[in-house]
Amino acid sequence: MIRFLLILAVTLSSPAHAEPGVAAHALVVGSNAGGPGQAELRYAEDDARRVGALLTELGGYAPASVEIVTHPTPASLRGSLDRFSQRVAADVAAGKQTRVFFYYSGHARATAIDLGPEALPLAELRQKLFASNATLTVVVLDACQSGAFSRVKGAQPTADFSFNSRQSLDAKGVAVLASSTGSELSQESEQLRSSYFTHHLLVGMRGAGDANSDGQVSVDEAYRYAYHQTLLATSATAVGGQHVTLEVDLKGHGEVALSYPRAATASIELPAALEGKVLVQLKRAKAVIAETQKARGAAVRIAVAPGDYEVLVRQGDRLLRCQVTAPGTVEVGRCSNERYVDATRKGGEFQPQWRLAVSAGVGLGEEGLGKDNFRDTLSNFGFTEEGANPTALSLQFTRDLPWLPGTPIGLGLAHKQSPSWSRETDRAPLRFEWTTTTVGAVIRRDLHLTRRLMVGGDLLAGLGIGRTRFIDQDDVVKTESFYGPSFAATAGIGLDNLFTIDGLALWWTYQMAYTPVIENDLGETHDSGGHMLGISVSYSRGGSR
Amino acid sequence: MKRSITLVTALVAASQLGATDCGQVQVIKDPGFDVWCGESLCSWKLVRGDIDRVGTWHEGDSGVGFLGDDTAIQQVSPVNSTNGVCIRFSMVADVAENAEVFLDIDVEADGTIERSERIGTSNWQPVSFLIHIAPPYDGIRFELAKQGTGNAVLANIGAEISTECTGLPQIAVEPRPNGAACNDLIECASGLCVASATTLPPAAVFGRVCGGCDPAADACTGGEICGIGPALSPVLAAPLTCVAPASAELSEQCLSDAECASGTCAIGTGPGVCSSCKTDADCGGQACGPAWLAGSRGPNVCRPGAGAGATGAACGADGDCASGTCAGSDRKTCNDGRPCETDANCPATSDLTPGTCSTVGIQGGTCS
Repeated sequence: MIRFLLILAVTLSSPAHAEPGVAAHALVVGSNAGGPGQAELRYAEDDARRVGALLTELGGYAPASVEIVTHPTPASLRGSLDRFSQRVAADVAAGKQTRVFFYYSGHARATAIDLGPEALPLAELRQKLFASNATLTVVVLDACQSGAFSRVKGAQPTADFSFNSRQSLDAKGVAVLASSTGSELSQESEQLRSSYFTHHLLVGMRGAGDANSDGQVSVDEAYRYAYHQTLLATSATAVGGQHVTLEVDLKGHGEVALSYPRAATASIELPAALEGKVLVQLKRAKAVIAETQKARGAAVRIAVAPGDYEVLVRQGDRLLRCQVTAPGTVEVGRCSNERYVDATRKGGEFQPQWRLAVSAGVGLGEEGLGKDNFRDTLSNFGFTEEGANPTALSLQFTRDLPWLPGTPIGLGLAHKQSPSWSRETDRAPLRFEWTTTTVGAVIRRDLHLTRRLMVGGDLLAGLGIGRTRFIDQDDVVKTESFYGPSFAATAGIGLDNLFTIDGLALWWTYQMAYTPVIENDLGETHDSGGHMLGISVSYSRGGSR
Repeated sequence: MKRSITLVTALVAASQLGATDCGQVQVIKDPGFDVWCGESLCSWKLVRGDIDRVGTWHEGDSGVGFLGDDTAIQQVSPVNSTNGVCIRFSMVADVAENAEVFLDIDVEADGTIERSERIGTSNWQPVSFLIHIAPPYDGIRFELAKQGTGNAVLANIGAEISTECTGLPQIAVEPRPNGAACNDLIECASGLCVASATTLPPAAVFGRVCGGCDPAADACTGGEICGIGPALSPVLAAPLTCVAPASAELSEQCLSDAECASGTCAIGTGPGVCSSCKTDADCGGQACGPAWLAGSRGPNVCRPGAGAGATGAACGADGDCASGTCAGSDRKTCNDGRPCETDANCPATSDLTPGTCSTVGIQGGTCS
């Protein structure tokens, strides 16, 4: 993944802190969609939501003045930009000072931002953003060009979008903050469930970046904090260190505040004596709120919503586990002290994603995709179908390959038990039943609609092995085996992060299968496939994020 | 009162004919040709030619292959008009073009085929026929016959009571043979619809069957008297018919003393049995009783089973004779007492179990 961040700095003002006659507007855009050759991002849209939420929570923006746009098309984004510009222009025309914040997280190239298969030219974006002549404007573009970790090693970074953008701007009252230099890649972190830069920018804005402890985080403070934390977090990844850049022209504007942590209803204070890598997460949801490298010597306040939190402090091979109710202070003496076990590689480090899934399903209606003579013959010979619908169990393993990012392939194994058929006789009833086992190659594709909600599907092609059992009126059992092709297409909707376990997902699936394997002595073939509904549990690790 | 009990019994028995778990009436036994006794079907009788066991859609599900140019199998079903008058007969057939296969319907199983349905050329296709029969009727003999050199295999034959015959022409058995159930004398070939002296067929809901004579009318000619004749089929009653006087041997069924060679017809429940005594007085004060009780009732003899019979004395079993030997022919009867030679002569039970013809004693016996 190549991610760029472009920030055109602007003065953020909340109603509580705004000067009289100053109007503030924010447009926050996130797009996970990948263009040609680009894999889906996982957290760009979530990052946009988080940025928007923080602007209203700590940035002083009224909720109505923050518009969050996710998964846009170029056309819909143009519409949003036009409406946004009109609102700003109206305030300008009314003689108000105007401050604009624009954030974009997603894929981009040197000349455009990529919104799935379509793109919005950068020149057009610039034109729309600066057309309103706002007093101050911030544009944040957290853009990803390559996207797939699996391709990073072999990828050559192209001209950096944010760098080029910055050079192209000649407006006054503008700052450009980029997630990386013109020759670097930007990255998402599976562990943080965010891009590295946006995560650390937000943590900084929550107060960790308030270097002078004046209760507000300026553009410069946010930049410095994001720079160090992002570099620290990415230096050990396979992609390499990521350097956040800032270029501003804020003459006459003084120090511009990005957020006001002191205005927060609650905060967690990391005491001056505390030192180490600190992770703050919601206790119940285990969602990471902040991750920062805390230095000894000064207290840090991180603005959070009131509630229960768990603060983890890593000190060498020790781990402090602290329970804090916000507002509150981490009391080191009351934290549990555990040995740190580094069981996983650092977040964001490239690992091919693998996925293991176990599924169970039940057939819909009659077996097979269409009418087949095999079943008719059974009926003609007096057999009746017994029991419930077909049931199936399957196991699937897939893994990313470097040459096919985002579309893992692997092996699937499925076993289907079909209903038995029987006919009464003057002795024991005749019984006929069959099972079908399929083993084959699987190709899969998943797409995150939100942080937890996914859609996905796979195709399977392989060998079907049918096995029939005929039990005659004297209880003599005759078995036969058949072999043939088997195909299946499955689609589903999934819920990720099941039981707050990363990578564990629950799926509801629909499958359509064609398995013409079993034959009778009259030469009629039966399709053991058909339509099935199922439930599946998958677990995946690593991945090209 | 006796008639009422008989009627109720007949109705109950009829309603239970071959009833399956789901309440559907099963008309024939082993419809799937599943039960084989060696190379023969256990529940179907080979009439002529030869058959073999043939796999169908699966080698485990057998059909019956008709070998040779002229082959037939049959099964007599006790299905009767109390069960219904419409029967759907179905099967799966694999019949070559140069084979002719027929389903023959012999109502009352008296040897007269009332309807013959051609089963056309087929490649494992299901075929079915609706058979509409005028009531009353007492049973049907189904015969499956094949002629020609071509291959013919039949499988999964089914016959069940249906309600789909409305408007179809009925198969009427008129005039009705002796022993068949009747409601009016005009139905009978003999012109007599009389109370039966023997086991009633299930369809005889009023207890009357066609007979060759009426004991009360004394209408026999040529010196004959009204007695019990042989049943024409297992589904019909042993009918009343004119017989020669003194023509029934010891152990045979009878209506009157004159019918028996011994001059004595011991009447108990049901038809009488030609015997040597009626009371102890006929034995000089010694015991007079039936020679056997198992199956149908045996003839009355003096001191039965005492081994006291002198040479020439009437006997029904070896144990009746001082010599230990009762000379005569085997007395073979069905469960209802009618004489028989094979099981095929006996009525099937209500659950389609074939009747059993068994030796119960000695007919016309004398101690030797």
